[in-house]
Amino acid sequence: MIDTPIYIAGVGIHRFGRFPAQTLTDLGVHAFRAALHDAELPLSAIQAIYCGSVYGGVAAGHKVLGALGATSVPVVNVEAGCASGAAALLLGTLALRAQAYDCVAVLGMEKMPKGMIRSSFFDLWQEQAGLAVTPAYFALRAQQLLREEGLDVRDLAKIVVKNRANGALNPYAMFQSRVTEEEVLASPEVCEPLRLWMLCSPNEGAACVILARKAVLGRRKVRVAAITLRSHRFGNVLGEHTPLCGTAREVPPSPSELAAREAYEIAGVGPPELDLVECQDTDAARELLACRELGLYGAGECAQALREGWFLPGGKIPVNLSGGLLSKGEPLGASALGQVVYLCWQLQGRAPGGGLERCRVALAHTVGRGANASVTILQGE
Amino acid sequence: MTSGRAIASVGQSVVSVVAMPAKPVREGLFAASSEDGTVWLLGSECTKCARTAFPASELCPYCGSDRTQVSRLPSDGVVELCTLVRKSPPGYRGPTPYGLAVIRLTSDLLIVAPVETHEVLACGTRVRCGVREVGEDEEGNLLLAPCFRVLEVQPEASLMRVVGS
Repeated sequence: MIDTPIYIAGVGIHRFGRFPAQTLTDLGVHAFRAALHDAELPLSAIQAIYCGSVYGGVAAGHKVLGALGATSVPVVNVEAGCASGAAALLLGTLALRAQAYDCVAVLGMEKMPKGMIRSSFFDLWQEQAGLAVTPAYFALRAQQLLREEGLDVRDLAKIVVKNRANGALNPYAMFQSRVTEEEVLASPEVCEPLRLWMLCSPNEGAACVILARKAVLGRRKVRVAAITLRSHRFGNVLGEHTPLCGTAREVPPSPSELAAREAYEIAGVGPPELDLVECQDTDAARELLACRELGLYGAGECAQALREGWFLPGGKIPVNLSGGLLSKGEPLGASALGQVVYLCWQLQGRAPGGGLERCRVALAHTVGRGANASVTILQGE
Repeated sequence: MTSGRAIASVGQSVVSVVAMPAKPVREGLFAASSEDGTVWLLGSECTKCARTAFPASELCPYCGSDRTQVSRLPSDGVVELCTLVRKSPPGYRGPTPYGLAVIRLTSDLLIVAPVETHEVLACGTRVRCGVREVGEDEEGNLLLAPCFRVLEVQPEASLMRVVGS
């Protein structure tokens, strides 16, 4: 249990997209200042900074603080793949729980290379052997899900249609236009069954969350009810740790399942209590797999969930109402905090593009190479 | 260098080794027989938890034990899942397109490996381990990497086996 409540004092974001004229530091400064402004706090109130970034290089967070006005507080730069922002949030939360500080800033920021990304995660020989082909692993995972859940490629196209329609209402998304099922299916085939528009774009952006042990502002209080981060166990041949082997039997629980179980236990809520979920839709199938790992539907129930529109706006549990990564793009270090910023807005009834009538408990999920997975549960009081 | 050094780690069970004017992308990744051209991927068996891992590693990735032994994996398997790679991924200079597949080896180990194909292969397609040339290193050596080949094309009918169940 998180005994000391940890509150979100303010949030800020720099739109996700491509910004050739701006440096990584510029993006970080923008989000940080927006969060300070939102929290109505001066920089001097921030006692420590946790900064998530994957491609940010040496002392990325320090450069942001330097640009804002150096205050000599500790800055810790955090890398945990797609969960980097969540890992920073975890460290910030733990520091407040330990009562080391009263107020900290958690920043996530990224400027990603374009195209199929060369990652230091793969060894040279794996690249040479033709094994460093990220979308092909997504595609194999997608095929497995389609088979297990009795879905077809049209169901994946419908996820893209849903998320792009949601993203059209989000001024912070990279893509703010709707697409049709036919357009998605007609986009270039990347790796069967995934078409280009079914994959999110790596891009740029920043998000900042200010955490405090006291909520002072007049608006609705939002509490970090749980933040969990897990890595993998060996054995799943299609795990995000991208192994080359695995077992056919006794497949261990995934990092996402482990993170979700732990988060539900800490927050004392389960899937039925959730009003809104933002999850890792790196590709359209990944969203559906994430929903299963998070317990939003049981194994074999996906077709029914889609038929009955559970995850649509106004459905049983809307998923990726922000537009998801399919609309926002994925700036690795920033994406988890981008979710938290959006959910915080929803919980406080100030989300751009329209809010839910009732939003009290919301969940954010990321998963990525490493493997790593994070689950954050926010609760409005 | 030949793949002979790789085979040496398996012990004396292999009679001889084909002398290839080339080198594997990673030593100890596979071994080949000069008798009939059979290619084996080399894995490691853990004597503590009895699990097999590929590629071979000194420490068992399941339990962390250092009591592992290099072993030849079965050359034959069936395709469980397959997708097609059309564009060369970063650092790859071999032929395209090719398949990337989850293959169930006859020992029931699941592996991910490239397959020589121009189309997506159906579940159940029988494949056998081989090698392919994937460019040269900076010293001009031909680089070899494992690549499975189709033994017999499987009709779409048998699509229903599920990995991990």
